[in-house]
Amino acid sequence: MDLLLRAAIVGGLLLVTVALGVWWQRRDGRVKAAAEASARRVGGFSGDQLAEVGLDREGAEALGLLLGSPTCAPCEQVKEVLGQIEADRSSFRWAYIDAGDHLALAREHHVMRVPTLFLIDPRDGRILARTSGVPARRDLEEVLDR
Amino acid sequence: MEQQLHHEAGNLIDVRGPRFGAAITTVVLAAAIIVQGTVGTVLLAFQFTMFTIAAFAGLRWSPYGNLFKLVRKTFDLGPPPATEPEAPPRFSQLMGFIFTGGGLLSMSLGAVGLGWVLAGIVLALSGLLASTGLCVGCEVYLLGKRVLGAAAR
Repeated sequence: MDLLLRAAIVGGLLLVTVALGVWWQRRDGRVKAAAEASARRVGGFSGDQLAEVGLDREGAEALGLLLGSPTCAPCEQVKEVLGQIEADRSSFRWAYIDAGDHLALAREHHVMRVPTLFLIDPRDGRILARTSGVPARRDLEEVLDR
Repeated sequence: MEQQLHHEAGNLIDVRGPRFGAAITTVVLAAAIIVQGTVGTVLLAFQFTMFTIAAFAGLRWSPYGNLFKLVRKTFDLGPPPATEPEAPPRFSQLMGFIFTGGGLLSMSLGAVGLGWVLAGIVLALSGLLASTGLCVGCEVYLLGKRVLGAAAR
């Protein structure tokens, strides 16, 4: 009896976690456009913040800021996507920071997980879009083409 | 070649390896939690040993990882669909080490129920990794940093 009960608990636990994982993964990489992104939070990135993360807005038409961690495999995939976009568009510039080294910045922008990517307008620091997880290249380019 | 990889980006591993290992871990821990008792505890201790080797000696020494290499060779699974740095899955192994170790410790101190709950957390996470490949370390990284930061203050 005990054995059956424990087997049921183990099975149920696995089922629930896997279902949650699949649901979570489906949301991953979805690009939240400016309206949706800014409805959740105020403002964008200040000049000081862009300087803090080493993003030079001079002459750029769009900026990307990726918050990651040293033990994050999807972050590497996002870097690859950003590298591809950068190779195509000379006016696009991006930077990677360890979110753990910039906790104040992460908190201000309500970053809960890595990788989180912001696309930023260099003129006023406005957030054009944000994504968590690995976004598709064409989804990001769609935002940049707007 | 291997030396070169080591210099450039640390050890690169086949992404399928950790998921294969997580699948075995899931089966071992599920069996341990269901049967409990002496057999269950031995299974948990076995899994703890696997985590210890992988976390501290590196994934190239991981028994499950080497089993995956053998399976890959035997069944000719082909080249890796993608490679990833060793650090993230090694971090997960360290988490497994901490939680199963904590479980064994609490059992030895008499808190048997708590021990199995800790084992259940590792079971859920390894089941998640095996089935979806989700990066659990990515989800908890900032939370952990914030907690550590608050504790340091």
